[in-house]
Amino acid sequence: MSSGELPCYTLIHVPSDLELPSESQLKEKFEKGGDKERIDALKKLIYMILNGDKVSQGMLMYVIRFCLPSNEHTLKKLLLIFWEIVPKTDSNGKLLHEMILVCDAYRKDLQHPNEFVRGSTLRFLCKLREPELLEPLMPAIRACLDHRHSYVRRNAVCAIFTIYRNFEFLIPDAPELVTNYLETEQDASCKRNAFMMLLHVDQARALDYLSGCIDQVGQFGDILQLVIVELIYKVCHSNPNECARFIRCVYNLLQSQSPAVRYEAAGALVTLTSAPAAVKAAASAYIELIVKESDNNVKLIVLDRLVTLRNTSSNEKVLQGLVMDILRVLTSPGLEVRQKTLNLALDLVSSRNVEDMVMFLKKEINKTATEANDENGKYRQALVKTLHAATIKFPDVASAIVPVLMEFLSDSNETAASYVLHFVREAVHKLPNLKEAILKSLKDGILSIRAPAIFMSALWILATYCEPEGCLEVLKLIKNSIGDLPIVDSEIAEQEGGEEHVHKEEETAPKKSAAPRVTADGTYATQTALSSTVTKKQNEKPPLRRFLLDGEYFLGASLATVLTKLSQQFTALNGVGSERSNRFRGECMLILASIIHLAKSGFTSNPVNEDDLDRMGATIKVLAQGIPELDGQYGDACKQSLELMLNAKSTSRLDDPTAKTGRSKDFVEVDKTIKFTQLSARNNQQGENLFDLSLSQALGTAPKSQKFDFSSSKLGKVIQLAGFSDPIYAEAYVNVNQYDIVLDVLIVNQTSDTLQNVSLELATVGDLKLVDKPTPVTLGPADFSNIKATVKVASTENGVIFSTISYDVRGSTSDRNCVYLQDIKIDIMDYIVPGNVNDIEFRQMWSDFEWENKVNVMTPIRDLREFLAHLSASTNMKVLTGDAAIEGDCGFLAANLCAHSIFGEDALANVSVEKALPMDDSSPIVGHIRIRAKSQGMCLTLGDKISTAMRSRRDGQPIAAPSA
Amino acid sequence: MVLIAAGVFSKSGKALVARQFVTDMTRARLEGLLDAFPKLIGNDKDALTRQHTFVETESVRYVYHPLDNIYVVLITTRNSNILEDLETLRLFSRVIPEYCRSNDEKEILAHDFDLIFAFDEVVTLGYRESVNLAQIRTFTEMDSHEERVFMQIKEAQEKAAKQAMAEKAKELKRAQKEALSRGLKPNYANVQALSSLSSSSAPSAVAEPIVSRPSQPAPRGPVGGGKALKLGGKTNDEDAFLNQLRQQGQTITPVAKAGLGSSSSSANPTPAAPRVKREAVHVRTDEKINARVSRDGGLESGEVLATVSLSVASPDLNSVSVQMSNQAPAGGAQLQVHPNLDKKEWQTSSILKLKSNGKPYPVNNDVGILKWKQVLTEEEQLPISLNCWPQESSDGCQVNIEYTLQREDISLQNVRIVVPLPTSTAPVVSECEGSYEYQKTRNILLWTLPVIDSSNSTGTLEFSVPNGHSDHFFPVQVGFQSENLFVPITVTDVIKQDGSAVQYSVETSFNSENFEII
Repeated sequence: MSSGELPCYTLIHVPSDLELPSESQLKEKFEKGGDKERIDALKKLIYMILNGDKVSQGMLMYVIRFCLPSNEHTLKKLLLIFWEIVPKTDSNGKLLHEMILVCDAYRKDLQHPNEFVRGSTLRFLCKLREPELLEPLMPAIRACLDHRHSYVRRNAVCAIFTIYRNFEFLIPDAPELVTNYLETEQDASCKRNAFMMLLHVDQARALDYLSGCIDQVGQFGDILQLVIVELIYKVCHSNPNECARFIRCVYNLLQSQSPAVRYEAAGALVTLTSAPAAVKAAASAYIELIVKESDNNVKLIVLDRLVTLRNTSSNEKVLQGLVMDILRVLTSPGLEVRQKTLNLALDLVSSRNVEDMVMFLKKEINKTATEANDENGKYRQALVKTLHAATIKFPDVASAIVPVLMEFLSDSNETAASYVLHFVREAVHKLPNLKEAILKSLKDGILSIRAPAIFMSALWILATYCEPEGCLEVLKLIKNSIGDLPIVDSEIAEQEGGEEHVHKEEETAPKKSAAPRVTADGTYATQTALSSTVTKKQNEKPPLRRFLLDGEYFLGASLATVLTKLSQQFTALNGVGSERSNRFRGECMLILASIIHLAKSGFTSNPVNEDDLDRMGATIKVLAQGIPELDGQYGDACKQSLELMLNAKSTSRLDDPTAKTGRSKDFVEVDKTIKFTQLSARNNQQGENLFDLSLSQALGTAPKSQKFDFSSSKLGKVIQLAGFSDPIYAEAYVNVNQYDIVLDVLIVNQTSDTLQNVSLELATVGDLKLVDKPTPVTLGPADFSNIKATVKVASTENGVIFSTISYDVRGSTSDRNCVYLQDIKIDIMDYIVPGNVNDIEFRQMWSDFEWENKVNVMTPIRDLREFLAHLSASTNMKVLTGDAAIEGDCGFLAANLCAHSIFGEDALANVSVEKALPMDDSSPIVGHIRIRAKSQGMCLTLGDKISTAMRSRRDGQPIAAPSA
Repeated sequence: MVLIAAGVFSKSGKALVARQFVTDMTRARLEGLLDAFPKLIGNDKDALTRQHTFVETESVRYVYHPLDNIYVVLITTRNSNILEDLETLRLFSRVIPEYCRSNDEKEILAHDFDLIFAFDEVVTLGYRESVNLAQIRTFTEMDSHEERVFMQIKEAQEKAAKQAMAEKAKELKRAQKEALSRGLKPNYANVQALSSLSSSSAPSAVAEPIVSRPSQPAPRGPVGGGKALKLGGKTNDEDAFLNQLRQQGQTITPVAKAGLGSSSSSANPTPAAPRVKREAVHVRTDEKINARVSRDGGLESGEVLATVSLSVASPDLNSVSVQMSNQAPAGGAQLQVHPNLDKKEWQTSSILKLKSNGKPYPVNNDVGILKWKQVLTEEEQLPISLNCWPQESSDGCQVNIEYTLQREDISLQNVRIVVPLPTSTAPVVSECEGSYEYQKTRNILLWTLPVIDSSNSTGTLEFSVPNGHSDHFFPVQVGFQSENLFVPITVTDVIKQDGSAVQYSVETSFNSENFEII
């Protein structure tokens, strides 16, 4: 057995520059030194063993001779650690003779007058795995159970527990012994340990004891209460009929002083029964914990429990009543907690309490308004989002929500404001009865908007949904917000002050080709605009003007569309060609023209782009000529496409939660087999005990679900390492665990000589580390042997293990012989699991990652989507781009992929491919794949993997790359 | 909650010290878990912006606490109780400054073992101990009053011994001198006494045999007058809760002691309830057999003991006499009657009758009236014989066991044959009459046959184990019950004093008490 497979209790980092003394130095220290030197030497020895150095037998003898008799406490404890790690058996698995001496020392320590020496020795015995050593100690261990110090007693119970569990025959009456002991014990810690032992080895006795003292459970210490809950959970899990007896007890524990017990009891209660009252009691306990505990970790984990509770559909009703209680959690700081709470509340809210919830959230929003920091902004954003979702779910509350949300249009946080606008847009579209009110408040609020994008969307809503009668008003609003026209002139005038104003105008006048036509068209609206801008000329510019001067010309382009829409509606109202409509159009053209002028004047720092200019020019043309065919495009088609988009969004919203939470559905298939618990075999109980399950998962001992296809059988993982005609034949079975690789190497002596000192030497490349050196063996003629070696893996990189076998031939005087073995390549696919990140995270990570690997596409596959699927399947990467986005057939494809490694690394990939000849189905795929990761190794490895995967078809047959 | 391991990491991601608390985790796995941690929490900046201090993976949860330049990390199962874990973590992080002057890598490594010792005190087998810092200090310093007392006593004893030695030496010298002056030879007996004195000076056990436990802590009840009322209120609340549950269809029963369904798996069967209807006069015969048979054949010892007891149900029957019939071959069993019975009557006509002046039988009480004992000398006398034949080979042991019913007039019921096995090996049973059960916890193979009678007077069990040698399979224990008696002495009639016959019932049982093949 290699040391990698032995239990390991202690790890100490030993700096690489630490000088470890030689054995002879250590021996001298042990022999000649005082206690201090011995302690030091023993520490060094422990470091050496932890580092994987082999200790000679002689060394062991020195320790026994010079350290064991000492009474120094530190030395005694160090010795215990030493005995934990030192190999106690020889290469054949037989116990070393020296250990008999050690065993006697253990016995003496168990009778030592110092209670702490006794206690720690007992604790050490928990870790001893040699029944031969334990056997003579049993009487002493039993005697310790009656020691007057609780420290000794509690460790004695633990020792008895582990010994009984591992070697029952050594102390077959342990449960009885401990039961009797438990009856008389008073110390809480000892009681807990004794009870814990019974819980694990003899539930019937534990239950019996519990029944005897069930009324005093409330007065027990918290550690004992915890174990009691665990017992009840275990018992009721394996035998549901027992539940009825313990519900009262668990309910009592729900009121325990210790929060830990309350948490555990709530968890147990819901497993015992699914009666609504119980679920309610448990959920209330959880909520109480979240509100009362200040630690964020607790809040998050307990919230998770609530979410899982909610996933059972029968509990949903109960939890719905608790929504308002859940919302109390929002008072605690911590964005993540609040976000989770909001999601849960939104999930649970029903028509009965949605009003209350909205009121509560409104109050919360107002609270956030008072102080502005980064986190508050995000919180507000989350609140707005929740309110939005609530309105979609329950349209009745919209009228109450709208005024609240409108206040946030002027919010400096752009995301929150844009959420508000999304909400407004949807509300206006879907709830016509609210349209009037919404538009009015939008008009009131628009001038205070601070972000251009928000302003743009607000304008769009106004123009699209205003009635024809309102067009004029909207136009006035726009003019108000754009200020003095033409922009360039008034700006210059403003800058240069009074006397230079005339001069400048002369200079710039010839340039203005489009503008002069309508310069002094003194309508009523312009007058007011003029006066208003004049009055506050100095302090502030109207929003639209400010945006334009900042160079946001895209706003101009969208303004053009808005104006066209308005003028169309206005024309439809007043009749084509009427004076009013012409004047309206004229106004619009003036505005656009002055924006174009501003753009071309170079007055602003940002240059305008061609598209925006083009757009504005085109609309001026439309305005001037009036093209009736386009009317539909600007009007109804616009609303229709919004409708389409909203529908698509709501369907994806509907899909989302079910896909995400995987909520258990209440229905089952008609032909599903019914499981009778009474008939099922004992070992595959339905629903395993969660405690055991999570423990075995953590220890990595959980049975993996075995697939029974041939390719994943053991044989598939056997690698031939040497040729059949080599003097030593070798093959390895590579067993990949989570963090380590076990090589099980079979070596066969093919010669007729006895080969001595046959040793397997391994060397690794990449992030692999050899845990221990395999021990040399001797092989008789035609004999064979198995050698195991463990290699530790620390990151996802291509690893290669090189190995040689060297040996001596008995009786020959020649040098050491050597067989070079085939190198073993470690497949990184074992370490990669599909990952999931959202778009924002993807972009963030994409820009954060330092390494990129660009792989050109060369593949025999001809279909784009097939190629993507193949890539995803062969590299374990998940395609993040939704199906909708890669639908259709257009000759090109772009998609994002993501994967995590089990070592916590992320890898991203972006595929951009197209058909070389889009019309030709058989044309090759060209393009490239870019891989990004935090570490170089990961990037390169994945790149290699992808390029090999591309060349192979799905059936795994490698195909030569097309020689193009 | 199950705490798997605790560790201290440097901020750069090195695991400085780690200690594992549950059993059976390999080094590779532990290192893997520890190595994953720094990667999971990401760089410092991520860790700072994060508002919680736990990370979960598929299999474990890490809960950590940053302390200047280090992290204190606990690895727990995903289902572990977070509140409890945080409590533990708090304790761990307070332990570190207790032993290290600063929270940096060097200091931690300098006190690595101190930390490990302290960690051990906080957690036991994955469960938190309720200890505080002061207690941990005490535990790790190991300063024991008892040890000091013990040392002092030892010292004092040594001193006293030395003193005694010196005095004795002086005395001896004086005596020598005196003797010399008187011209006599010194007496060596004294010297011998001296040497024996000095060698017996080491005390053998703790000096004070105090067994008293620490005084019982007062139950931690609610304190204050107002609470008592509240307590009553709570139970009301509890009843309401339970009622509610009942209405919702959840059954609730009071907690009652469930008797331990202890299935004794020893070879001796549990005595069954009386199988016959008891009449007013009831005669019960209990026979027990004890036998030790050598594995190579031959009886080492064996005897059959029996008692006949009588029980009468009413006072008017308290002086009945019982007519027995002895079909056993003469000279087999030694018979013995109760001294209150008329021996003569018994010897002449096999009637058990009270002496004329004897006390009547007590009512409703079993009274032994007749005993017999038969010493077995030959193996052939046993009701059943067993032939166990272990065969050692290179790849384990093959064991054949054959039973033969030797007394075909007896039918044995509930036969249980217990074969011990080498530790931790599961047997492979190739042939078996009846049924068998491998009890792993006791390392035995239990072979049971409901009935052995003339119809199946022989049978075999054959199994093999991968290791062990022939000694491992002994002693084999045999247990059985039977209603047929080994020594056939039966009741034929019961008569009252006035000569009228009485209805009576008879119960016979023949059990094995200690029947083993060694």
